[in-house]
Amino acid sequence: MKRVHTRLGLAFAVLLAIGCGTRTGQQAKPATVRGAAHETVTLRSATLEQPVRTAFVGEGSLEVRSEKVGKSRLWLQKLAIEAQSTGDVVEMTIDHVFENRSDEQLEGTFRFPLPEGAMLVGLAMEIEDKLMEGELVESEKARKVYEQILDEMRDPALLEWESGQTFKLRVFPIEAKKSKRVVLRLVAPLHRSDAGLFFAYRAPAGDGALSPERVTLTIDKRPVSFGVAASGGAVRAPTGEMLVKIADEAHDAYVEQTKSGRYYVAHVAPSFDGPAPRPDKPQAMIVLCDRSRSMLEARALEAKTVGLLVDELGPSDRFTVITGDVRARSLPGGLRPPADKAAATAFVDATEPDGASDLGALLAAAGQAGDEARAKGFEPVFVYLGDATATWGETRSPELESIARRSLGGAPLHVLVLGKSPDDASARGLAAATHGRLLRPKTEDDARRAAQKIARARTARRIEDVRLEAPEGLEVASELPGTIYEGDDVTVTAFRPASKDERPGEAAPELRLTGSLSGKAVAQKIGFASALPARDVARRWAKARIEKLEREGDAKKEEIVKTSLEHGVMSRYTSFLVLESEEAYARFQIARKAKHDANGDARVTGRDLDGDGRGASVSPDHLQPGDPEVRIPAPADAQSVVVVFPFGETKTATYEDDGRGGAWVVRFLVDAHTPDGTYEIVVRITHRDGHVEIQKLAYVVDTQKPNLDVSIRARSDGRYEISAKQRLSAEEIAAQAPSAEGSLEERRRRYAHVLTDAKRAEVRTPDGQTIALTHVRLGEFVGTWTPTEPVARGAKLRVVAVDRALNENAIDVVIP
Amino acid sequence: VKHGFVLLAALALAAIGPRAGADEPRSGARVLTDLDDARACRPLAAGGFAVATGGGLAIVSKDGAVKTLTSLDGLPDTRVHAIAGEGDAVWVGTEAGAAIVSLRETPKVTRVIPSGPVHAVHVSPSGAAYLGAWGAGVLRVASPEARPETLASGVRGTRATAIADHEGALYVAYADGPLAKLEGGSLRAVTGSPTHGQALASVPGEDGAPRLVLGDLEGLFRVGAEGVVPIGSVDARGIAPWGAGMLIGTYGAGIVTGSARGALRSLSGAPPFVRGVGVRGAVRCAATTQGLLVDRGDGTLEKIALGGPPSNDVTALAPNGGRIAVGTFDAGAAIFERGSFSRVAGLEPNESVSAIAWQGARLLLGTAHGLVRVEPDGTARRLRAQDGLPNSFVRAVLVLANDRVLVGTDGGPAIVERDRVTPLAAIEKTGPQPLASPMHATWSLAAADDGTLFVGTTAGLYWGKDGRYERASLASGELLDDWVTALAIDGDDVYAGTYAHGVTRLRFAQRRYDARPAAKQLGGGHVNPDGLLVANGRLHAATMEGLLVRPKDDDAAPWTTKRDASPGRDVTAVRFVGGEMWVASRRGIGVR
Repeated sequence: MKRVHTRLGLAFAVLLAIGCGTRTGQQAKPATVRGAAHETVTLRSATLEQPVRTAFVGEGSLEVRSEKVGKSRLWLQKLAIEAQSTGDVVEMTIDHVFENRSDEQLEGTFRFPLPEGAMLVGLAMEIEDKLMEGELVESEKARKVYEQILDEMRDPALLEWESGQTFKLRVFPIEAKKSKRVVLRLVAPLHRSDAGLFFAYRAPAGDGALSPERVTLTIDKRPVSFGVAASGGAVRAPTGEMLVKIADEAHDAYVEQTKSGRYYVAHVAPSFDGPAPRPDKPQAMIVLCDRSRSMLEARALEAKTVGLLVDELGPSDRFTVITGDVRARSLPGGLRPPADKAAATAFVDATEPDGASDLGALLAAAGQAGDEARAKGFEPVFVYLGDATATWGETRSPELESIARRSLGGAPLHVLVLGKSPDDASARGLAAATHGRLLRPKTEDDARRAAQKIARARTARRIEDVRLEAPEGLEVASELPGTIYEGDDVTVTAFRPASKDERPGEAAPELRLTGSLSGKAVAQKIGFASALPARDVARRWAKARIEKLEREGDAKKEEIVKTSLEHGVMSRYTSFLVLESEEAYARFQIARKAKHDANGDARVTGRDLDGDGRGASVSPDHLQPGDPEVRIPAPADAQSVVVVFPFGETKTATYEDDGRGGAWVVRFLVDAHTPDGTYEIVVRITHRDGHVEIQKLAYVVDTQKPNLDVSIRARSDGRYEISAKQRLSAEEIAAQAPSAEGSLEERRRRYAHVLTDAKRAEVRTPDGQTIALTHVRLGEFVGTWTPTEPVARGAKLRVVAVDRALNENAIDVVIP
Repeated sequence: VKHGFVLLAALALAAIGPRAGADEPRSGARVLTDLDDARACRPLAAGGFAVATGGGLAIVSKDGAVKTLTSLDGLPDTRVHAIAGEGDAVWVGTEAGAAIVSLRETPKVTRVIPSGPVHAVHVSPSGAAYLGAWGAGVLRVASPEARPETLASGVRGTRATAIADHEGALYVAYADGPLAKLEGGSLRAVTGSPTHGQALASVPGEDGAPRLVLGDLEGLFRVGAEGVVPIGSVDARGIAPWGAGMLIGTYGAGIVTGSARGALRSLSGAPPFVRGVGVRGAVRCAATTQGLLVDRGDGTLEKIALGGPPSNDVTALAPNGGRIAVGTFDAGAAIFERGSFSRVAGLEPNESVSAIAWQGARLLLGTAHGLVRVEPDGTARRLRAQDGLPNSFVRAVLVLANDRVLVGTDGGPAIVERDRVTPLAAIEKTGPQPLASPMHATWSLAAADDGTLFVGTTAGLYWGKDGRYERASLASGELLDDWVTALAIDGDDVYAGTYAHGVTRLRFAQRRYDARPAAKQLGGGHVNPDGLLVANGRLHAATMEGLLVRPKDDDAAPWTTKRDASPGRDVTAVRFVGGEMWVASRRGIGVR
C-alpha cells in the first residue's frame, strides 16, 4: 500500500497544512509542505485529506424533569475519560458523575452521542455506592425484564438505541442532593493521516457547561489537559478538534486471533494512476429531496443538508432543488446561484413530508433539469437525499437504476441516505449504477463532510464498478461502495474461522479488488500478511457484519442479535441492562459475563483462563419449572461443554442449532425435595484448540406461594373493583436472599423488584364467575366484577395467584 | 495399539447387551437398569470387578456373570457413585447414603449408613472408612460396625468428591472448595489449590517417592512442597497409581496415562467420558458413560457389556403387543422385545423424550424438539414449531380416531394429521382462540368415547369438543392445583393428577360433559406426567414419592405405596404388559 514517508518527530504543522488543503480543495497535484520541525515531506497528490475522525464528540447529558423547574439538564460534576489505544482504534471508558442539587428525587434520561464509526461495548451505573456492570441482552428480553420491575424498581437501567448515533438511558431514581454515576465503554476509531494516528476529541463548547477543570483525560495512561493545545502533545485542528498523537504511522492492517479464528481489518487505499479529472465547466448541482411520509423524522436534517451542499459551491456554480413524493416539484426559477441558498432550504421546508414516494418520477424530473443545465453550459451533478424506498410508480430497484442511467445522461447520482428505514440495497444500486458516492450522514457534521465530498467528487479520480473477491473460507463483513474515490477512507473486515486443516505458518489471506479506472480495468490486492496484532478487530468485524445485516432489515434480526451478543457489540436489537444486584441478574436469568479465575497457577494451558470475558456466557433464558434447560453459547466447534450441577451430577451439553442462534444445551431435573435457594452450576468449556474455560451460572429454586393483599371496593353502580398486590413473605425473602439484612419491611422494599414474581391472578366469585385479573404492573392485578345476583352478607371471593415457578396460592376474602 | 494396550473397539459398540441389565432382587421384582451408566469401578481380590453405576452396583465375577444390587436389594439408593475396598466386602457410596456389601458367596448389603449423596468413599490403611457426604462434609467410620463421626473442618467446601491417603495424611477434594488436609484432627485448606476438585490420588513419582495429584475442573495438578503445580488441562474424574505413574479417567479426553510431572498420553479409542478408574496390580478398569472397560492384566482393554435401557431416567412406557417402547429423559428411546433393548431410530443420542404412543405399528414420540413419527421401516419425520406446532416442546401425545393425533406442547395443544397441524381452538365471540399461552402449556391429554377431549395444562383442566371448552381450576374450586400433569378416564370418572396436590376425581354423571362434574380430592402427592392408570379395579399413580395404588371404588381407602415396585422412588410411569406390571422410575424399571 502506498504511504507517505513520515518519520518520528514530524510536526503537527504538517497535519494542519493538510487540513488546510482539505478546506480549500485547491491542491490538484503533488506538493511539498515544510513542517515546523523543518522536515520536508511529500504529500500525496490530489488527495483531499479526510475530515478529522473524532473519538470523543461530547459528553453525555442527563435531562431531568421535575415538578418545580420542569425540564432541565443535571449538573455534570465530573467527567473522566480514559482512553487506551490498540491498533488504529481506542478503547474508551467515559465516566460521568451528575449531581442532583435539588431537594427532589428525579427521573432522568441520559443521552450520549456516539462518534461516527464507534461502537458501544459496555455500560455501568453506580447503585448504592457500587458500580454495577450492565449486561448486553436481546432488546425484547431486556425490555420485558425492565418493564417487569419498572414500577417497583429502585435502580434498573436500560440503554437502548434511539436513532442515528444516539443512545438513551432512563435513569431512576436520582436521589435529592446526591450524585449519579454513569459509565460508558466504547471503541472508537483514531484519526488516520499521513502524519500518523491521532486521538481526536471535541473541546468544550465554551458555553461554560463543561469547564476543563471538571474533566480528566488520560490517553494510554498519560494525563492530558482537556481542551488545552500543547498539553500531552495536543494541537487544535482547523475544524476545532483537539488532536493528540498516538503513533507516527497509521498501519494498514490489523489482526486479532481468537478461539474462533482470525479477524482482519485493512484500510483500502488503491492506487489511482493517471491524471485527475479537470472539469472545464462550472457545475450545476441538482438536489433531489425525497419528501414522502417516511422522511418525517429526517426532515430537519434533510433541509439542513441542502443548505450545506449549496455552501460548497463556487461562485460560478449553480443549483436547483426538486422535491418529490407522489409527484416531483421543482424550485421555481430554474438554476440559481449559491447566494439563493435560503430559497432552497425554504422550498424544502415548505414541503411537509407526506404520502408515497415515486422515485422514478423524481429521477425523470432530475433528468430534465440536467438537460437544461447542459444546455446552459453547466456540468450537472445530481444528489439524492432520502431513504431510497420507492413506494409509488416504479418500485423495482433494477428498473430505477435503469431510469437513473437513462435520465441522468451518464452524470453521477450521489446518494445521501437519510430516514429511519432506508432501502440500502436500492441506495447502493442507484449510486453504483451512476458511479456516484453513497454516504450515510447521521448528524449535521456528517452531512457537512458529505457535502464537501460531493462538491469535490468531480475533480477526484475514482475506481468504478468496484468488486471484492475473497478466497474460500474468508468471510468478508464489509460492503465496499460501487465507486471508490481517491482519498476515500474505506475499511474492509474479514474473518477466517479456525480450521482443523490450518497449518502453522500458513500464508495470510488476500482479497482482490477489481474495477475500472478511467475506463481501464484495474485489479489490486488487499493483503493481510503485514497485519499487526491488535484488540477489538473481532468486534470491528462484528460491527461491520451487524451493519450489513441491519441493511436487510428485521429479517436478519436473529443473526444480528447473535453477532451482537457473541462479540459484545450493541446493535439496534440489543440493549444494555443494568440491575441493582447479582441476585437480580440471577432472578431474571440474565447470565453474567464469565469471571475467570485470576489465580495464575490455574492457567493450565497458559492461555485458557484469561479470556476476554465477552465471548461466551451462560444463559438459561428458557428456564422452566420441572425440567429446566441450560443454554451455553459456547462456540459450535468446542470439543466439549460439560456441566456440573450442584447436586453432584455431570452432564455433557450438546450443540443445538435451533433457530435461536445455536447454543450448547443440557436439560436437568430439579428434585421435588430440593430446598429453596440459589444454586450454582459450573460449566467447563473445552475449546477446539484445547484451552479450557470455566463459567458459572446461578438458578433459583422457589417453592414459596405468592401472597397477595386483596382489596375489594363496591362501586355505586353495583359492581366491585378488585385489586391485588403481591406482598413478599419472610419465608420467600429468606429462601432466595438469605444474606438480606434489616427488618422485614426493609427487606421487602429492597427485594420487591427482584423477588416479586406473581404472573397470573384470577377470582372466583360467589355467583360462579371466574374473572382473570389484569396484570397492570409488577405484582399488581386489577379487575372488575359485575355480580349476576345479589351478594349475600359475608360472601367470599376466592383469589388465586400463580407465580413464575407455577407456585399457587388461593386466598378467600370476605366481600365488604 | 499404544503402550501395549489393545482396545477392542468392536466390543465397545455393544452398548445394549442381550442381558438388558435384568436382575432379580430379593423383593421378587425384576429390574431393568442401565448398567452402562458406570461411575466407578474396582478390580476385586477374588477376580472380577465391582462397578458403581446409575442403575445399581454391578458385581462382575471372574467368569463374566453379573449380579446387580439396587435399592430393592437394600442399597440406600440405586444410583451408586463410589466404591472402596476389594476383598470380601466393599464400601459403596450412593445417592442416599453409604453401605457395606459383602462379596462372600452371593453379594448382599450388610450395613447401611443413610445420609445424603455419598460421592467419595475411601478405606485407609488402618481399616477406617471415610465417606464424603455431599453437602455434609466427611464422615469417619472406624470399623465396619462403628458409628460414623463427622470430621472437624475448617474449610468452606462441603461437597467431598475424592479422598486419599498421602504420606500418612488424609486429603479431601471438594467440588466447592479447595483441597483439604487432615491436620490435628481438623481438615484445613491447602494453600493455592483450585476449588472444583473431582479426583485425588497418591501416585508414585519418578524418583519413587509418592506424589499427590488432584483432578479439578480447571485441570490436573501436582500438590507438594513446591505448591500446587498444574500438570495438565484434562478434566480428571478418576486417578489411580499405575506402574511408575498413574492412570487417569477424564471427562472428555478418555483415558490418559502419565507421570506426576505431566507428560500425559491418551489411550486412543477409549470412550471420551470416563468417570472413574481402578487398578489392582496389573488389572485395571475404567467406568465410562458408555460402560465398563477392563484390562484383566494382559494389557488388553475390553468392554464388558452390562446393558439395560438407554438411560436410568425413564420417562415413558408404551406397550404394543410384545413390544414395549421406553422413553428416557436424556438418551432417546428404545424398544424392549424378546428380552433385549434396541434403540429407536430417528432420535438424537441424548434426546429428551416426554411422551410415547403407538399408532398401529408407527411410533410417536413427544420430545423437547418436536413430535417424532417413526415408521415401521425406521424412517422418521419430525414436526416442530416451524411445521405449525404451537411449540416444539411436546409433552403429551394421544392417538385419536381417523389417523389423528392430539399433542400437548408448551404452547398449547394441537391436532396432527400426517403433516398437517391444527392448533386446538376454542370458539369465542371474536372467532377461534387457540388454547395457547405461556400459562397454558399442555402436559396431559385424554379423550372420552364421545370425542370429548381433556387437556391438562399448567392453568387447569380444559374439556370439551367442537370449539367449546369448560375449565376446572383452583379458582373454580374443583382442583387443588392448576398444573395438571396426568389424566385417566374410567367410566363417568376423569382422574386428574396434579404436580403438587395429588389426584382429583371429577365425576361426570352419565358422562354428561356439558355439566360441571363433582370433584373429589383423593390426595397422593406429586403426580408425574402421564402417571395415572386405572387397571384391575385400582387407580395407580406414578408419583415422585413412589407408586401409589388405591381401589378405585372405595373413596375411604388410603393410598398404598408400593415401595418394592421399582428401583427408584421417583416413579414416572406404570403399565401392565401381559401379566406383568412395569413400573418406570428415575432409576430404571421394575417388572413384577
